[in-house]
Amino acid sequence: MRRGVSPHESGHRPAGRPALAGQSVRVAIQYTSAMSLVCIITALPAESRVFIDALKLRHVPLRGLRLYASEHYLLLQSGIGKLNAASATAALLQTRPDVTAVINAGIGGGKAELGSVHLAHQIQDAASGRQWYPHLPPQRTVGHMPSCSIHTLDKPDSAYTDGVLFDMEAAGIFSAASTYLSTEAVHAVKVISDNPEQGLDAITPELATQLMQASLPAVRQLSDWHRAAGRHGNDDSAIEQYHQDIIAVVRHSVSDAHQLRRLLQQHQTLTGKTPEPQQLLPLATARKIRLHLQNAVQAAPLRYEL
Amino acid sequence: MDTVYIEREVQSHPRTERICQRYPNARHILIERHTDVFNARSQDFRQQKSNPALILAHKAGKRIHATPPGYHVGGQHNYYFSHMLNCVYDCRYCFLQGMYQSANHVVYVNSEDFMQDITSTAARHDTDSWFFSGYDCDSLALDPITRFVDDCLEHFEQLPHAWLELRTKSTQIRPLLARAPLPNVVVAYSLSPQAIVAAEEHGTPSLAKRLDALQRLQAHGWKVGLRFDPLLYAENFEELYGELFDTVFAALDIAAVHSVSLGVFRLPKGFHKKLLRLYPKARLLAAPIEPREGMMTYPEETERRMRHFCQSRLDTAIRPDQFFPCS
Repeated sequence: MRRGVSPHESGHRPAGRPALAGQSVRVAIQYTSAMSLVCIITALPAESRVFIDALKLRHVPLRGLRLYASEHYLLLQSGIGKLNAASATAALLQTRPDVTAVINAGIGGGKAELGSVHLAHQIQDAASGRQWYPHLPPQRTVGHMPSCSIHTLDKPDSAYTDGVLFDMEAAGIFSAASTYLSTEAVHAVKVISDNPEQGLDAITPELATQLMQASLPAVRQLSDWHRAAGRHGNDDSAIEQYHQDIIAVVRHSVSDAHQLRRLLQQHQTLTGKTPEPQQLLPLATARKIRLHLQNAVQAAPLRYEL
Repeated sequence: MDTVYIEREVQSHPRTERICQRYPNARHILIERHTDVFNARSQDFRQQKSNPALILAHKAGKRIHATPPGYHVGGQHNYYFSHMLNCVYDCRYCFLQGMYQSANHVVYVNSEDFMQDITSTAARHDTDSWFFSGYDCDSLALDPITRFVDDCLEHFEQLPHAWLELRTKSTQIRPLLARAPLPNVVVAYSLSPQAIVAAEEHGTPSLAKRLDALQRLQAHGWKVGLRFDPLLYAENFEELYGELFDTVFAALDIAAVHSVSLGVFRLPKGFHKKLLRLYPKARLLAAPIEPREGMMTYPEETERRMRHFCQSRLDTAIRPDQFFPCS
């Protein structure tokens, strides 16, 4: 899940919900919840092809980023290496705060069967030693995919060891994405492209594309898990929209706006509904609105019944 | 448990091996330090709560801590210890949600070190010392996995001047019923009205099941304690808690209850703020709550009324020496 920024604070309003133009406009009370948007991040065209085709993604121009999109997915092709991956990931997440999860998909080397698919349980930047632990989904939701530790290297290497997979981007992506997203929402899925039996020299773009086919179900399962988990989260879109609509009409300081949001949440929790806009908007000042809501919250009964 | 993280240091510890054998199909992931996983930034406590991992670790450093002022049941020297971090239950008022970044369960497998520290702490005093378990976890809920209670009881059997309180909401009392009661152990249950259990104490045994466990423990000869903490405000507070007290008094041998304590909902400011972020729609957080003496709690007059009502009802059933209000 994205941390700290609501879709509305970031300027993304649910479709079809214009801000109030004036006090005479009635606040709409039917709002839609924000959708989960998963961004797949690859390094190379050969890794991207399978997702572009299967998920029917289309190229979208965005500030020099190589980005593809459909309704529920984005694909960012970062280029090779940790720095490219980190800068592209940060640029995307800064520009698209509606992204709710990131999945790094790509090829990597390891002491495992060629073409086998692995979910990262640890990502380590080999140069700095810095590490990340994604919170793993239940095994049943990802088809009991084996997990591994990923070591992100600055140069390709073939010193394969048990349980460790080499790549060149994951640490960059985790470093950037963990500023914006929680550990449940950033994952890496890697397909073995080279191992002690078949070395780095044998990798071709065609082979990479062919191997990446195996990662598609895993990426879809992770996305589905993320979306299902998101449905149990805090769907505050109605409150957020209502809040936006009020502060668009009545001037609120940052502190006033925080208090207003909390009072609206309390009001809805205790009464099951947002206040009538006709009662709030004529009050004209943040202070009067706050006092009105405080009185309404204090008067609302909090009962526990069986 | 779907994922088990294992600190390399305790990889070969017999308890680690026993616990891992319970989860042969889980992912077993070796880590260097449990804090790398547990204290990592950017974790979503709420989402992890639905799918927590188990972390098996070694507890180094200080293992026994002095309790906060007001946390006692009559003893002079009071300590708490946490052989686990986090709780399997999901009580909306729980301070652990505000305290930890992670909802994963940490189990410290080196219980022998805890026992040694308890012995040396108790030896520092001429009078009895109290050791409270269940401060950062539920004492019994994960006992089928940890088997910590057996270790504890065997140890406290040898320490007649040290008292143990096992604080719980769990009905996992088999290890207690399987042995003779110890005179220096109190099994203390947190109790709330069933309507509050259903609304705010997610995943916990019902009030009826807790009372059943208390009855069985009393019948077996164990000392039991009742912890009405936290009291939660509601418009129908008197009806809810009046009925709770009636039910409890009717179900148990109240004269034989070791101790009864009472505390009103309170949280440190920072924890309250984090809880609001995690659960903005929580009903108990929608009640009038204000800052007072560094804590977020109900207004003074509300707290006074709640305490007065409860104390007056308790006075009808328990002796003054059984009662310990929490501040």
